[in-house]
Amino acid sequence: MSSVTLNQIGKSYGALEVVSGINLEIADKEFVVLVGPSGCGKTTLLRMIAGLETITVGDLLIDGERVNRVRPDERGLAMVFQSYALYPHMTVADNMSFALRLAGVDKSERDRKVNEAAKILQLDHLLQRRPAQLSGGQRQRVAIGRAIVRDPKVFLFDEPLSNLDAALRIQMRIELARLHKQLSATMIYVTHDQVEAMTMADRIVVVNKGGIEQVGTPMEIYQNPDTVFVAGFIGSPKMNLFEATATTVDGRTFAHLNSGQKISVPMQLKPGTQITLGVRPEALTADSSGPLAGEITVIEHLGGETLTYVDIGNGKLATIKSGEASLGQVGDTIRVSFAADRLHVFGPDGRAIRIQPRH
Amino acid sequence: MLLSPKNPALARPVVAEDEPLINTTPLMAPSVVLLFIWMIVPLAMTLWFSVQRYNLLDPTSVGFAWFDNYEFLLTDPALLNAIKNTIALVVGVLAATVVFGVACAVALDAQFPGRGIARLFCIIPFFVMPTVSALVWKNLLMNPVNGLFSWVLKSVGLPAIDWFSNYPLSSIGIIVAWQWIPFATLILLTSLQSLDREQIEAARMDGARGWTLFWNITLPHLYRSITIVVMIETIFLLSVFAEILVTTSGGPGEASTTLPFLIYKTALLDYDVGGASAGGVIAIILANIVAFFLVRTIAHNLER
Ligand SMILES: Nc1ncnc2c1ncn2[C@@H]1O[C@H](COP(=O)(O)OP(=O)(O)OP(=O)(O)O)[C@@H](O)[C@H]1O
Ligand SMILES: [Mg+2]
Repeated sequence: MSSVTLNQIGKSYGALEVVSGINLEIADKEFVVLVGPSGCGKTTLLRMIAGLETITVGDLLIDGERVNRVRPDERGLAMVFQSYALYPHMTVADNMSFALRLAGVDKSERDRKVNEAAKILQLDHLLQRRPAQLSGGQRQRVAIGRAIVRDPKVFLFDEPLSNLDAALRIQMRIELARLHKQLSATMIYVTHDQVEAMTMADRIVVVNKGGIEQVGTPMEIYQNPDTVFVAGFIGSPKMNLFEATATTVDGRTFAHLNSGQKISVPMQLKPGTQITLGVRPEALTADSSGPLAGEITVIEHLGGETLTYVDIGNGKLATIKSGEASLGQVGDTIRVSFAADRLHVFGPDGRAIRIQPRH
Repeated sequence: MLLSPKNPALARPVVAEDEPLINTTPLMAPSVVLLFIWMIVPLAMTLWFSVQRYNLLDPTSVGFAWFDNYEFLLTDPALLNAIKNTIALVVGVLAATVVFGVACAVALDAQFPGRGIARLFCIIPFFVMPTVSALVWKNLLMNPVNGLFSWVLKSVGLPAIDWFSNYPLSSIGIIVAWQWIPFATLILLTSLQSLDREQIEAARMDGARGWTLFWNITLPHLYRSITIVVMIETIFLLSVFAEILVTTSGGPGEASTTLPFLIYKTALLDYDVGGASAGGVIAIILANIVAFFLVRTIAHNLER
């Protein structure tokens, strides 16, 4: 059992408040990913959980026990740093057994644990090397190994894959997911890469400007973003977001896009309300009777899929994701439509106005 | 001509070897020649004088002494004593500067108000001329009558210490160490600042703090810089002279006579140029032995 509870957690540096009002329950064996743009406070939050940063306000509970004032090594957590932070003067084996040595674990027990972790991470043949003699991916694994041998209640990862190249990142992503199953441990993982978040998380926590925007499973967050920020942040290519003003004609609500066109909206809105419409690129389809028209300005062929950028007025581009076939030529004018249930509407406060629950 | 390709056949665009296209060795010649003359003339003259009978007080004694000067020196207990004193001074000061240098560097690396000023003050002794600092220590601090130390001792009821009579070599060592601690601090402080913050945090998560953190993370990180401090300081400490001249003049007796000071005494107090040159040659040989081991161990350390 190892749950982590954050209760109204906040952090200030002097007068500067960088994190505030964080409430989060992390269940046992859960893989939670904190995702958000640079500077939003993810690292600060993780470091507060780790005990490397003091908590200004709020309570941090691990297994129901308040640990605000408990030393980092006594919280029973292990952290994997972005720079790996291996000890350069120690061999891989010494790096991994350092915590055990400090804790007074005897040699045979240390060796057993190190060998066990090395086997899981396929580091057996590297144990006597120094970090400088390893590749990036191997160092990454040593850093994870150093966490594993401590048998922690919770693993903390701060952007552990951001120093790796794309291919290795995908491989390590899969390995981490496998490791999570194998160790059945609670993991808190920080990243600014929404693909990592979508692929690895049991639950995603979207952080923005020091606060939590939304918490949910990857699909919940993808399909039902609570705010404009989450809608724009999660998903690649980005969701199309159009600013608009609500108008009413004959009792039906229309969104008058700032770029000039009009779309009917399947809900009642007060005329004059400033709203933002969101449609995922894959929800847009070319349709000669569609409500939106525009000129194709750029076509990107990605092989299996094609991204078409359509100017819907005033230079505002709508992105359409389709299969291999092109929707037309650059310069062609096409009409575009989407299913009503794929439309997201956000009010003036940036929060979603639900049309109907989607699954 | 100098810049002509070494091997015309290789001058084609395809260069197979990583051998340079032009021969750069002749370009180094001016500096090499100059440095060589710079070194070889004094060395040759020292060697020449060391086998001569050459006393400034006795113009009649001339001609080859062959190895008499060496024999005289090597059988003189003063030489062995001077070598011992030199080693004691160098090793003692090295130990003191490394220990205090590490302590100061760690202290100055921490966050505290007024850190900039403290750093500045810590560096100042390095800029004081050796003669000046030796005089300050001799007359203001270690003087048995007027000195600050004796005043402090007296005010707590202890007898004053006559530093330069009772502990001459240690006193000189203290002065020299005081001058060189800033140097060690400076080098070690820059090294400390390059210590990865995340590494320290990882160690803290692993349960290291205070001494264990220092021994397991900080000190190993400083290892290279300490080696460099030792190497550079050794070069300068082997030739410490002004501090001895100003304070004890090698005394009492021979108690604080080091090798450089012995050579000075032989040449300029005994006017025996031949003997002093022989001493100089012995010093060169000793310095080279030290340098050999030092450079070898350090090169080994730096490679790791
Ligand atoms: N020691 C500090 N003093 C003052 N402000 C700080 C300090 N450390 C971080 N901050 C501020 O706190 C905010 C959050 O920083 P944090 O490192 O948590 O961002 P992050 O979400 O991890 O970003 P990234 O994705 O770039 O790593 C930033 O605006 C940063 O400027
Ligand atoms: Mg960060």
